[in-house]
Amino acid sequence: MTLQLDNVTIAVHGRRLIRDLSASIEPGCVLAVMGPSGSGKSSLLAWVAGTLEPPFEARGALRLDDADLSVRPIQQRRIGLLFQDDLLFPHLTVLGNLLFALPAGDRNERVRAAEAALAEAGLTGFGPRLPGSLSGGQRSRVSLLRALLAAPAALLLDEPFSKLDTALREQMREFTFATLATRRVPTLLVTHDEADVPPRAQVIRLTDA
Amino acid sequence: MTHVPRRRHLLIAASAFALAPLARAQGAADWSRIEADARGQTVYLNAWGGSERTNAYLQWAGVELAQRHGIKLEHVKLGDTAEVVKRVRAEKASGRLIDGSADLMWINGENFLTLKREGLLFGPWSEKLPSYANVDTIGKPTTRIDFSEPVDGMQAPWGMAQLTFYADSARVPVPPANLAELLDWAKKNPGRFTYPKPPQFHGTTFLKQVLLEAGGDRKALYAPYSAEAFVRTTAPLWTALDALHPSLWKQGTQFPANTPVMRQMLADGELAISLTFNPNEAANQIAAKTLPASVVSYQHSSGTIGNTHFLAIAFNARAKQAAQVAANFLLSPLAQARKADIRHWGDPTVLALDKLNAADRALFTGTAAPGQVNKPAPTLPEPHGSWVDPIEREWTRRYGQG
Amino acid sequence: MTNARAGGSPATRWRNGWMRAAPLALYALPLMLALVLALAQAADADAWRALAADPQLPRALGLSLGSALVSSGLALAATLALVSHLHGSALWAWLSRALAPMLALPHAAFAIGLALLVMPAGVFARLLAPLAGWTAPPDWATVNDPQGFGLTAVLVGKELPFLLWNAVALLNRPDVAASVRAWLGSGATLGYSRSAVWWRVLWPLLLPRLGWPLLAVLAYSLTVVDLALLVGPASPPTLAVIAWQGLQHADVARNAEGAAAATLLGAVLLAATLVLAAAYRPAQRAWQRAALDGRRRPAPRLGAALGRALLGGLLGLYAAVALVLLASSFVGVWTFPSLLPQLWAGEAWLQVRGSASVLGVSAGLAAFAALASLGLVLCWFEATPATWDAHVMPLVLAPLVVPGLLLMAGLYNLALRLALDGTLAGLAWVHTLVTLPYVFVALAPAWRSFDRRYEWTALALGRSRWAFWWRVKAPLLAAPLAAALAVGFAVSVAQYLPTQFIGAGRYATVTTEAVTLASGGQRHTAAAFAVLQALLPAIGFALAAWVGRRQRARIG
Repeated sequence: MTLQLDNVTIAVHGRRLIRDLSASIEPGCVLAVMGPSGSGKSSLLAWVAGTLEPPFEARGALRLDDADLSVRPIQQRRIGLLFQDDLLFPHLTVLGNLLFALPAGDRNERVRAAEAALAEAGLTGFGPRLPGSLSGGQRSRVSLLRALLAAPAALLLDEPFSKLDTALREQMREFTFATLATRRVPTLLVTHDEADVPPRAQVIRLTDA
Repeated sequence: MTHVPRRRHLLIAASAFALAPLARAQGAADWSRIEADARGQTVYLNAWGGSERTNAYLQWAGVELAQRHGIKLEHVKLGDTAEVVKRVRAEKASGRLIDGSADLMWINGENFLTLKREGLLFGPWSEKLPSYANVDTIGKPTTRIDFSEPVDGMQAPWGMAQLTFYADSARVPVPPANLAELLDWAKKNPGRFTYPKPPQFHGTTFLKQVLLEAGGDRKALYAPYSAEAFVRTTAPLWTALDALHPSLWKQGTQFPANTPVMRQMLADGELAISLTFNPNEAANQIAAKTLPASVVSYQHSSGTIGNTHFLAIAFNARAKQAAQVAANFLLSPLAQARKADIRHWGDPTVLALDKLNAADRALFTGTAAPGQVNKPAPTLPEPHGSWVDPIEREWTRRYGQG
Repeated sequence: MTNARAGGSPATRWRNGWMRAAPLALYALPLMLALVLALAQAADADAWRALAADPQLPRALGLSLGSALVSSGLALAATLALVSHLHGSALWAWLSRALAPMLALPHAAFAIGLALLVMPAGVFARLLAPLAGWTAPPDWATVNDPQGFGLTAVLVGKELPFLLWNAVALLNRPDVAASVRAWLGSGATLGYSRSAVWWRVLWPLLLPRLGWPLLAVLAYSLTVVDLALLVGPASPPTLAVIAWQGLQHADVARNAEGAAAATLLGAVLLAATLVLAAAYRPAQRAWQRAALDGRRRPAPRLGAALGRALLGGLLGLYAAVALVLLASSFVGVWTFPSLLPQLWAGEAWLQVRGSASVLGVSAGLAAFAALASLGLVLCWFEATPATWDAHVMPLVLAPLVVPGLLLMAGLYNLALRLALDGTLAGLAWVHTLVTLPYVFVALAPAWRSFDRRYEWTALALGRSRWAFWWRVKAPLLAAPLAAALAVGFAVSVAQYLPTQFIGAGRYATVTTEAVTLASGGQRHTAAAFAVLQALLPAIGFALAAWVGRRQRARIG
């Protein structure tokens, strides 16, 4: 699935942050949007996700292959969202968090899928544990797994590594982009850190309007 | 006065005699129909809720009515009977003519006068109740004349009341037997007696008692209120009160709200003499372990005010049949006996014991209980109801400003 | 220049629409109608003339105003003193937990218990009797005294924990706490003692933020009826009681007089508020002049000790009240000057057992009111942005600052027109109305500050709004939800006026029974009902605390 943005303009209080931006993200590819704070990169992300609210206003087309996403609510866009904080639901176990993301179906199959994902990430046996008992890196990995288990057609990353310490950041970058490449998920990455951008990624730099 | 032709007279008498059993049978058939209609109805009895004994008694009555007649009795606890008068009046004013919130009301005196005059009562009905046959209308004339106003069957007598004093014999070895002795005792024991603040009805009754004992003109008081005679007639009352007040609790600057408050003060030792309208009240409370056993009841030897209290039905009552059945039950020997029993309420009966059969009469054997009145005094009838409001207003003007 | 925003679909807009409309139609609209109806009832020239002609009016008004101003002033002063001296000490963290049971004890129960302690035949008098040689209760004017000191004392006893709790809540907010710490620090470096910094710098800044609670306290003490009936002056009573008597009277003209008196109280409240607000500026300037005099006095050595003593006294008082209530409920005959009852009796509790329906009505109404308020409040929170809260705050707080009498008279009028008077449904609805403000205020901080990203994450995972709400948001906010429900439950149990007015005498709750019995002199039965009145909310709070503990253990 290809994620397509056409002539996107985002403004707040009459001031334009993003003007006529167009981009296309192929499956397995990464588009990195960079810029200083206030340049509108998080707003762009929010618009793609569907969480943009007044006083922000936006215009433009958002398409997944040929489907127009701009009329759909968040939960129907099949676009995953990851933030700086892992935002794992603290009252559910790791397994519970993963099951929350999996589509409905036979319970045993869903549990198997979740366990398999944990194994792939080197987190076998972490199912019954509560997020509070995991380390930062482990939580980030579970968060990514959770996003991916929902079988998104595209993924949005909002400064996903900025809260991790340097050593962990390198590990998570590798893990994240490897997994995303394997799954062939088009990804929109917002960051201010050059090191976060994987090789062969498209880059768009936003400046203060 | 013309002389009616004897034949016609005899014919009428004969037919009346012949029809009497038929009339009785018709009455009985009417009553059965009322009882049948009453089944399944709910009766809202609006009655003063300040006495646990009364409340407990009504709870018992509710159980009996449910079992015997399939009627649900709801006791709506009032702080003052005026509340239900207001409600019924408001309902009539707003056009609520059939679905009233009150069915039975426990009333007497000036409330009855108001309700009857304003057409807020259903009836006549009480004299048609089967139990009414046992009421002592001769020995207890107040069952037919309420505060000098004829009852005319618009309310059913329920119990007897008589102003009674009670005192802790530990502090009052010789209770005062009349107003003069009370004044004397109060001067020697300041702050140990008081009366509820008028217009609370016990307080007002005390005022009427003082007025009668102090020499108020009885002829005027038993006739309807007259504005010209007011000053002259009530003068002895104000003189007596002016003499009494400095020796009262809080020097007569404050008055308790009602008799249960006074009873509690007596139990605590703050008062030495209190008053009530139920001659068996003190005995009740001793049995209920809320008054010490040293309390005795007494009445002023020349007589104290007494009356009958009644049950009336609102003009717009929802459950008129059930209300009548309930009143009939409450008038029955079983209910009256239990009501008169010191162990339960101790409210004297309106029935004439000699009209009852032996079995029913046996229900009334009361054992003498500590705290009962040893020397009952005669009952003085209530002055005309129209005197109540002017006396209360004058009292408030003189003493109630605080 | 907006395109069709995702999430703005017709279905969502319709859902948001009725979720916003529900609280407005079921809460705001009836309140406003009630106020209008009450004022209309009072707009009767004859009623005002009769009121003005009432010889009791000047004294009654004076009593109401006096007891309200004095009690609010004393409670405020004590709050400021306690906070100034206890903030930062070891007791501080413990304070909010200590306040909770004091707040949970309903007003009527507190009044009944305090009366049992200080009345002429009360516990204190009996303790003094052997020393003073009394054989009969002394002629003390403690409760029901003509000057209203008894009422003022009870009001202070109840308002102090409330104001203190508000102050603690304010100071525990992260932003405020940080600023206070910073100022205390800089004040110390400038040579001022802690309490000096409080009085010179902090209170002038923080006092306006206690404005709403202060207004609520003033409004309550000015218009309270059940406390005035229990411990207030008898002749003349406070204006609130006169209004109450008028509104309950059989005569229509007296009803209008009562409504006029209630409106007068509302006007007096408004006037007092405006005067105090106007006087605040010059008072603040004078305060500042004194604060900036540069004098550094050493910290009063006794200051902290005084604070501790005051707090200890308050806690001791509450404990004594609770004990005496419990003991009194088992008393039969207790003649002065005996320190222990002559006759213990279980009669009072037997009567309580016979009034099981009263307990059922109280608990049922309270449960309904708490849940219904919660439902309406959640509808509002879920359908509106957080910024709208500030706009509706006056409406939310209206039942706390508008005189209860006025509101109830209007609601009764409204209920009559809707044929809801004397019905359980009408009563349940009115209880919901008065409970809602508390549930709103209790829940808003936690609910509104919930991280929205959880919602976006869950939705982005493809789950429905309802799945998110039910499986993530509500469970995570279980503790604040339970606390808000407990608060709503407690508020409903303690209500007196709504049950009396709208219930039209048909329904009794533990509170109305306690007040009726206590003002009817049946002290020991009243004590039993007061214990019950205190027990019900206590159970609710205990449950909420248990939920809170479980959450903390699980999530940390």
